Parts: sequence; C-alpha cells; structure tokens
Amino acid sequence: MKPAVNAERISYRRDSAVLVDGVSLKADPGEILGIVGPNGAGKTTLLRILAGDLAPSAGRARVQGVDPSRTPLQELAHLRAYLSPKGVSENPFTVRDTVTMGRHPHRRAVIDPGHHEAIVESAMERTDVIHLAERVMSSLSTGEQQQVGLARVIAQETPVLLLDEPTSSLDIGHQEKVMQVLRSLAREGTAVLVILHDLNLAAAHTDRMILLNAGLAAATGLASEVLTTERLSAVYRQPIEVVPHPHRPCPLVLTIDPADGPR
Amino acid sequence: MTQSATATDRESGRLAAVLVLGTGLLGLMVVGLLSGAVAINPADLFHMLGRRLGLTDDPQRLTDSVLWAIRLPRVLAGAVAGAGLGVAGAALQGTFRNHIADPHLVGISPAAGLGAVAGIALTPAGGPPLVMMLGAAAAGGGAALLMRRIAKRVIESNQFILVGLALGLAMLAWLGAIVLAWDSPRVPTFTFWVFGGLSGSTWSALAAGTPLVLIGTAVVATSSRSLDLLSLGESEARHVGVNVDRVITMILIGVGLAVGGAVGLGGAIGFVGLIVPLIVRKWIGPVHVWLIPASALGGAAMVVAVDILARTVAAPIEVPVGLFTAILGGPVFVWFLMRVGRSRL
Repeated sequence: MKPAVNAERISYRRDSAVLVDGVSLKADPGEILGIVGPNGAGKTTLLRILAGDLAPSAGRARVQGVDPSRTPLQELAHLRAYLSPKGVSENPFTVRDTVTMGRHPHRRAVIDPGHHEAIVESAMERTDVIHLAERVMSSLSTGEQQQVGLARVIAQETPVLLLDEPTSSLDIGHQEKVMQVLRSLAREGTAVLVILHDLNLAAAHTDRMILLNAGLAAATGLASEVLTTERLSAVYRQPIEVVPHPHRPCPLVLTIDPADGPR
Repeated sequence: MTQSATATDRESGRLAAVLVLGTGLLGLMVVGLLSGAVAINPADLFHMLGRRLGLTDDPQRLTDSVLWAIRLPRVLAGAVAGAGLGVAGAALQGTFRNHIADPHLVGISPAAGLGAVAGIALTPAGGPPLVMMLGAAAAGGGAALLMRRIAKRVIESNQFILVGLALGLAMLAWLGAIVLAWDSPRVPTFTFWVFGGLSGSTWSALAAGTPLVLIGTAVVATSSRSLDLLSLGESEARHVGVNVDRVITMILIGVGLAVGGAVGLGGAIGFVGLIVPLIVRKWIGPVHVWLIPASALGGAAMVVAVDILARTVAAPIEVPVGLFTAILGGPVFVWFLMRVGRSRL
C-alpha cells in the first residue's frame, strides 16, 4: 500500500537550533500514528512540516504523494486537515458556521448545499457538539472549542488528518470519545497523525507511535515496543514504570517516586 | 430541514437590517440638506431637484445655490467619508481579529493625513484634489501594511493597539508641525486633521474621493469570505486553502483606499470605524458579506447625523464633526476595553 504520509530523514533548523533532526515516519491509510515525547521534542514542528506550514531544511516529506511545502494551498486543503491545540478565543461565529468553514475547500465541487449541511451535521454529531450548534464560539469552554475544532477538520474530509493535542483540554470521558472518533475515521480509510501528551491514551488507541526526544526519533513502533520503563525514564527524566494494562492489550505507564526506582 | 429554515430567517433579518440602515441614511441625508445656518423648507428641495433635472423652468431661488453648491456636496461627502471609515473599521477588525481596531486608533488616518499634505505639496495651486486623495490613500495603505508587519510580531491584541496609537500620535505631531510651519491657505487647518470637518466640501473633492472609497469597499467586499475564515486564525485559514498573506495585503490596500478617500473628504473623523462595525456585528452577526455593506451604510448614517449636530448645535458656529464622534466614541471604547478585560471578548 502506498503510504498516505511519508517522511524521510527530515530536519528543521531555526537559527542555530535543530528542532527536528533526521526524523523518518510513515502512516498508511486507515492507520493512527501517535506522536509522543516531552515538551520541546519537536512534535509540533514535525507536524507543521507535514502540514506544509514549514519547509524542511533537509529530507523529504510527502503527503498523499506530494511535497506539502510546494503544493498550492487550495490543493493541499483537499489532502490534509490540521488541528492546532488552541482555538481563537474571540471567534464571533457560531459553532455551525465554524464547522461549515471546514467545507471551504469543497465549496465549488458540490452543487447541492444540502450535501454540505449534512456533512457538517454529521461532523458535529460525531464529536458531540451538535447541542452547541447555534452557540457562539467565544462563549464555549476551551474543551468545547477543541471538540468543535475536531468537527471542523472532520468536515474538511481529507485523507490525512494532522492533529496537535486534540485532547489537551478534555476530561477523560471526552478524551476516550475523541480517540474512538479517530478510530472510526481510520476505519473509513483516513490516515490519522496525532500528537498526544498522555502516553496511556496513545498506548490504548494508536496503531503505532513515534517517540521524539530533542528532535530525534527515540523509538518507532508498537506501543509495547516504544513504551519501555528504561526508555521513558531516560527521555522524560522522571522515574517511570511500565506495567501491563489490566484490561487492555497495551502497556500502562505510571510515574513513580525517585526513591522507589524502576523495579 | 430545520437549519435551512433558521439560515433563511437569519438572511432575511440581515437584509431587513441593511434596508433599515439604507432608509435611515436617506432620511438623515434629507434632514442634512434642510438643516443648517440657513433653514430650507422641503418644497425648495423639490424645486432645486426639478430645476437640476430640467423638469421645471422656474426662476432660480436663493436657496438653490445653497443647496447645490454647499449642502448637497457636504451631505454626500459626509456619507462617503463615513462609509469609507465604516468599511475600513470592519475590515481591520476582521483582518487583525481585534474588535477594537479602527483606522484612527491604529495610525492609518494620521498617516493618510500626512499623505494628503504631501499630495497637496505636489499639486500646483488651484489643481484638482485627486493627487491629495491618492497621497492619503497611499500613505494610509502603507501604514496598514506596516501594522500588519507589527501584528506578526506582537501577539497581544492590546499591545497592538498601543503600538498603533503611539505611531499615530507621532505622525499627528509631524502633521501638526508641517501644517503650522507651512501656514498656507491651500492646507486645511490642524483641526481638520485631528477632528475632521465637512464645511469645505466641494464637488471636485467628491469626484476624487468617492471612487477611492467605492473601489476600496469593493476590494474589501470581494474578500468577505476570506475575512470570515480569518476568524479561525491565520494558520487555520491557510489550512483550508486561503492564501492569507495575499488576501490580507489586498484587504489592507482596500483599507488604504477607503481611508484615503474618507480622510481626503472629511479629515480625521475618529471612532466611526470602531463603533459602527461593533454595533452592526451585534445586530446582524459577524458574516462579512453582510457586515461590510452594513458598516458602509452605518458609517455613512453616523457621519451625516453627527454633521447635522455639528452645524446646528452652536449655529452659526460650526463644531468639528470629530469632536462629536469622539465624545460619543470615547466612552464606548472604554466600555469595550473593560469588557474585553473581563471576558477576553
């Protein structure tokens, strides 16, 4: 299968700092790839390179077979959607209007306006914001705005979704719901690349993950391969113990006190 | 479908608002024609119109020339200047996602004033006012593009306004120095550049200023949809396919033209670009396809109304229009700043 997203040894330098250092990754259609790592590891920079916001200093990025930094914005809007962690707080539009803005790239393609409305409606239902449809964005909580943002990028109907911490402001119930939505999108064939801070959320709901540290890929693979006691303790500079999840077939990451030490 | 029904309701509500604003503007313009140092009765208005349109051969009445040479250009200049300021305010607020942006507050009107004076210097005595207007538009557009560069570095919205205010005050000081030093009857007084004024309105000024405001409005209006999308944030707008840098450059050139025409016609009338889009947005919502034309009508109505006050309150002495807009606008601005402080908008 041709990968939906393919990055080969991409680097990004700003001034003298190397923010991303020779990272390679691949995501197939239908796959959820988790991007994890400590603050400042280069996760967002990597995602923005894939989104076409930044051109890599070295290496090769491909999204649906094209170089995102050299593809016209209108065309790119059909290939990938991007969700940043923080919305614009002073947005005066309603939730429905905001989600409808995700349809912008398709405004000329479909003649029947009912088609757009139906997609917007279903995106709002999927992310559980349909009851907020007529509310003004600036009146919503940060978490609600984040769910609306997800509805907007779903409504954009792209084969690749790039999500930067889509669950950062959500309670654990909504975190699980969002991950289930991502799974259902993946089942429909979407390639989902998602930055997550919560390693357990990533372990439970992604197919594969990449652990970044100081711009480098510290590990790539299945959660059980990437999330190991020694590696996480070193990368996060915090004693960590990884145990089997009691109910799910994935590891469970626990922070522990320095005195206890890893077993 | 239910959402289609509410969407249709919203559209007809917006159309009704535009019609109300348009009718109000026309009514105010008629009042503006009739009121002033010389009171004119409505019958004279019809008489003048009939004569101008060649419908009647009645001899010219004394009020005819007052209406034709003084009142009508003045009322039209107020309407055009107000429209330009309303459109510029709505466009700036959308572009910078800052609901307290206004051509006056972010230094665009003072820059336009400097450009206008430079234009006057380049025009031979008795020449047409077009160069002056173009100078105002070029300087206004330049200031708008400079503010865009500043906005890219300054993230905090109040800081952006403060930078604009500081630049504006500095330019105003230069303008004052030049106007006082030059001391020529060809240059409008310093009051005109600070508080505006419509007393010197002429048909030739209208002929130069109106196309600028119309073109500026058209440029901004064609970017309505992009302005809507910019409310998501610049990178978000880019991600749905908007060429953000190009669109914003276009919009700010449009703002420069609209402000240039407005300042050339009426001087620096403050707060219109702040208050009008604010009220209109509360009334009909943030969709720019409606917000831009409604702000044009609202701005025109506000300046025409305030100009009526300006020449009747202390008649026969005239008060600069901008004094009234500032007296009204100052408190609104403060109220809005306090509200922003509490709820982050």
